[in-house]
Amino acid sequence: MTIEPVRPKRRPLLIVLAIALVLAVIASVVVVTLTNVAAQQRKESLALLKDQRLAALVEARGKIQPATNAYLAAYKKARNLPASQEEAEKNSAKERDDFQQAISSARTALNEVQSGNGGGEADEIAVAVTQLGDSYQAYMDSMEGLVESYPRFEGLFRQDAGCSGLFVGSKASNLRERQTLLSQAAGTCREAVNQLKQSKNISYVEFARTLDNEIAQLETHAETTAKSEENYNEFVRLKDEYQKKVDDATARNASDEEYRKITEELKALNTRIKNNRSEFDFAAKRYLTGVKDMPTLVDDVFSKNIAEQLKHHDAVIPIRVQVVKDEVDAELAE
Amino acid sequence: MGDRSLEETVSAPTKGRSGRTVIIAVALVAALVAVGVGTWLILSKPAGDGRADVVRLDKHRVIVDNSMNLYDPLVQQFSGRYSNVIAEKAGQSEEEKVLARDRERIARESQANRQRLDHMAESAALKDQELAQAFNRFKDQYGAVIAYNDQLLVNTTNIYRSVGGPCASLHSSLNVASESYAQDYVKNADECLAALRTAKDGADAETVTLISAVEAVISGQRAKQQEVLDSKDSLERLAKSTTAAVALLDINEAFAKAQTTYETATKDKYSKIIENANSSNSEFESVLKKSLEQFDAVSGEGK
Repeated sequence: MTIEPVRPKRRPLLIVLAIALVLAVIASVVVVTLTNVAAQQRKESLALLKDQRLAALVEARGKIQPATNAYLAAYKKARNLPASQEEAEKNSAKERDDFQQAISSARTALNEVQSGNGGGEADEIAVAVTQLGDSYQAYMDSMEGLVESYPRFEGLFRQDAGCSGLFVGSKASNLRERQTLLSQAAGTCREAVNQLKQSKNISYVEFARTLDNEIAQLETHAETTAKSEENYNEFVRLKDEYQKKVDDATARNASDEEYRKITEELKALNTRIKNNRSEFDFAAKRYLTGVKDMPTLVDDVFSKNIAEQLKHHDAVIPIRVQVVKDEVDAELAE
Repeated sequence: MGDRSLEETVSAPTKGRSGRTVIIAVALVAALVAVGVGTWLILSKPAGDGRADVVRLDKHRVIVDNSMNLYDPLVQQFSGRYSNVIAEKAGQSEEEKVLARDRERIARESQANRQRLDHMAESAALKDQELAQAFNRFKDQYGAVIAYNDQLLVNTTNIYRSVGGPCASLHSSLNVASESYAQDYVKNADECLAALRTAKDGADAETVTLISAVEAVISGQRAKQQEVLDSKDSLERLAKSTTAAVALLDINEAFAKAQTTYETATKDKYSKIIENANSSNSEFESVLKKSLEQFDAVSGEGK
C-alpha cells in the first residue's frame, strides 16, 4: 500500500531515463560512425590527391615546355620565310593552340589538386597545397608570358619595331646626322620596348627596362658627340682667326699687352678644345660600347635569363610536389 | 472469482513492472555495450598510434629539411629581380612590386616553416625524453637557418638599395677627365653616403662591416675631391686633382677587399649554420629510427 503512490511517479521517470539513455547511445554510435566515415573519406581523398591528382599535374607540366619550344621554333621559322608578324602568327597557330591546350590542361590539373585541399583549412596539407599552387601559377604565368610576348620580342630588331635602326653604322655622313637617325629609330623602337614591359614574363620586362635605358644612353652620347663635332669645327675656325690675329699683330709690331691678351685668349680656347675633346672621347667610347653590347643584351634574354628562370622553376616545383606528398603520408601514417 | 480477480489485480502490476524492468535492463545493457564499443572505437585509434606519431614526426622532419632547399632559388630570384629594378631605376612602384611579390614570398615561406616546427613540437611522440631532446636541437638549428634567410633578405635589400643604387654610378658614369668631375663626384658621393647610412638599419654585423668599408672608401675619395673644389688657384687645383685621381686607382682594390671579406664571412657563417642543421637532422633521424624499431620489436612480440 505504501508503494502504490510511489509507483506511478517512478514509472515515467524511469521511462524518460531509459529513452534518454537509448537516445544518447544512438547519438554516440551515430557520431562515432560518422567520424569514422568522414575519416575514411578524407583518407580516400588524400590517397587520390597523392597518387593521381599530383601525378596528373606533374605530367601536365611536363608537356608545357616542349609545347613552348615547338611554338617558338614554328613562329621563328614562319617569320624567317620571310613573313610579316601577322602571317607568322597565322602559320604558327597550330603550335600556339597546342601550347594553350597544354597550359589549360595544367591549370585544370592544378584546380583538381587544390579542390578540397586548399580551401581555408589551416592544416599543414592545405599550406603545402597553397604553396604548390603559388609556384605552379608563377611557372604557368611566366610560360604564358614567354609565348604571348615572343612575337613582340622577336620583332624588335626587325622592320616592325625598327630597333635595328639604332645601328646607324655608316649611313650617316656626320655625327649630327647620326644623332638624328638614331633618335628617329629610338622613337619607334621605344614604343615597342615599352609594350614589352607589360609582358607577363619577367625576363622580357627586365630586358625591356635595360634596353630602354641603353637607348636613352645612346641618345645622350650621340647628342654629346654631335655637339662636340660641331664645337670642333667652330674651334678650327676660331683657331684660324687667332692665327690671323697673331700674324696681324706681328706685322703691326703690336704692344706686349696686346700679345698677352691674345695669348690668354688662345690659352682659354685650348682649354675649351681640351674639354670638348674629353667629353667627346667619353661619349664616343660609351656610344660604341653600347652599340657593341646590344646584341649580347638581346642574346642573353634566352641564353641566360630565361634559362635561369626555367632552372628556378625546375628547382622549386619538384620540392613543392614532394612536400605535399610527404604531408599526405604524414597524415595517413598509421 | 473474487480471489482470482484480486490476484489478477495484484499480479498485473507486478507483471507489468517486471516487463518494464526487463526493457530498461536491456536498454541499459545495450547502452553500456554501445558506450563500450564507442569508447573502444575512439580509444583504439590513439592506442595504436604511438608508432604513427613517430612516423608522422619523421615525415615532418623530412618536410622541414626538404623545404630548406627552397631558400636558395627563392632568394636568388628575389635578388636578381630587385637588383634589376634598382640598377635600371624602374621606379618606386616597380620596386615595391618586387618587394611585395618576391620578398613576401620568402617571408611566407619562413612563416610556413616556423609553423611546421611548432606543429612538430605538439607531437605526442615527444613525451619520450630522448626524442624531445633531439627534436629541440633540430628545432633550434632549423630555426637558425630560417632566421638566417630572413636576415639575408634585409641585407640583400639594403645592399642593393645603396651599393647597387646611388653608389654604383659613382665610378662608372662620371667622366674623370671632365672639368666638373670634382663637383659631380662630391654631389653623387653625398647621395651614395646617405644611402649607405640608412643601409645599416636592420643589417647584420657582416653587412654593416661591408657597408662601413664602402663608406670609408667613398668618404675618403669625397674629401679629396672636396679639396680640389676648395683650391684657391689653378696650380693648387691641378695638384689636388692629380692626387685625387691617383687615389681613385686604389678604390677597386679597396672594394674588392671589402667584398672578399664580406663573402668569406657570410659564407663561413652560413656553412656553419647549415652544418649544425644537418647534424641535428641526422641525430634526430637516428633517434626516430630507434624509436620505430622499438615499436616494431614490441608489436613483433605481441604476435
